[in-house]
Amino acid sequence: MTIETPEFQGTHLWERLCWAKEKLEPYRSEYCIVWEDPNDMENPAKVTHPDPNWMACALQGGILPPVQSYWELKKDENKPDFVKHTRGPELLHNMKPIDAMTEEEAIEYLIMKDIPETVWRDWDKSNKPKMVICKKDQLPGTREWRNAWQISEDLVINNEVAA
Amino acid sequence: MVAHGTIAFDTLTTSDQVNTGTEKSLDTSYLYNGSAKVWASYVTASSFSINDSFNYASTTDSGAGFATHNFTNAFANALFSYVGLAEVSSADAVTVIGYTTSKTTTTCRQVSYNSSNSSTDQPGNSFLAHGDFA
Repeated sequence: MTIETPEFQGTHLWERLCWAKEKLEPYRSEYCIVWEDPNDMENPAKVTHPDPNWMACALQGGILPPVQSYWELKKDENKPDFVKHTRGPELLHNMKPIDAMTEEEAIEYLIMKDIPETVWRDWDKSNKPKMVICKKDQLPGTREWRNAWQISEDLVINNEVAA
Repeated sequence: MVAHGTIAFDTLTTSDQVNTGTEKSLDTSYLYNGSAKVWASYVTASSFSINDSFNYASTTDSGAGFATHNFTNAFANALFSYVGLAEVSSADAVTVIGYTTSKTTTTCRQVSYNSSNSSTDQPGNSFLAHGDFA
């Protein structure tokens, strides 16, 4: 049964998430994002996993604010005189929510929200990719050597998936 | 048939007849302000996965025992309070800590260490944050 999203523009984002938690089935994506922070090369590759409840919101549409809202919040937060956010209502709660995304679009949104811009802006402009979207079953089968994980320099990339 | 709708009120009052018999009132804003704003239950050992959550966008596996929590609704500032717990499968002293250096209004980091002070994956992990929203 299709669930229709109420008109949520102007509704506090937290209330929207309460609605989603009650109404939507979590969606477990088979994808994750492997990335290396150029400012933190001493540490192993990081792997970002989408939250199933968040994915449900992204696929449903009409709930989440545009990713640019988070960029604006980040800009405000990086100002030296930042004390607290004052544009939350404007950027998160009153902004028109984004429409339903495909799984691929949702992953791209998440990359631009939760991964440093220094990683995703020029992800393929260095000697080896700084980031790759892959299926979870393409990660190493054991976490025994987790702190040695790196993106392979021999990585083969196509437009859909890294192998 | 159950009718769904909204009940708007600012105060909850109880006669408290069962206990003290003294009437008590509570401003409903306390309920909102005192509720946990983010929570997550996740696994780091064997495979990294999120069991369930609220107001949670993603988690970043940053290495053995390391998790970075990313929220959907931002906090007003990075002074929100959070706690984490590692659920162990055997009696081993585990310490769970957070890092101030990577704490922002939409993210914070949780790490679990074993009794040898090595960051270590755990079969179960919990996370909870309180604070004011942006």
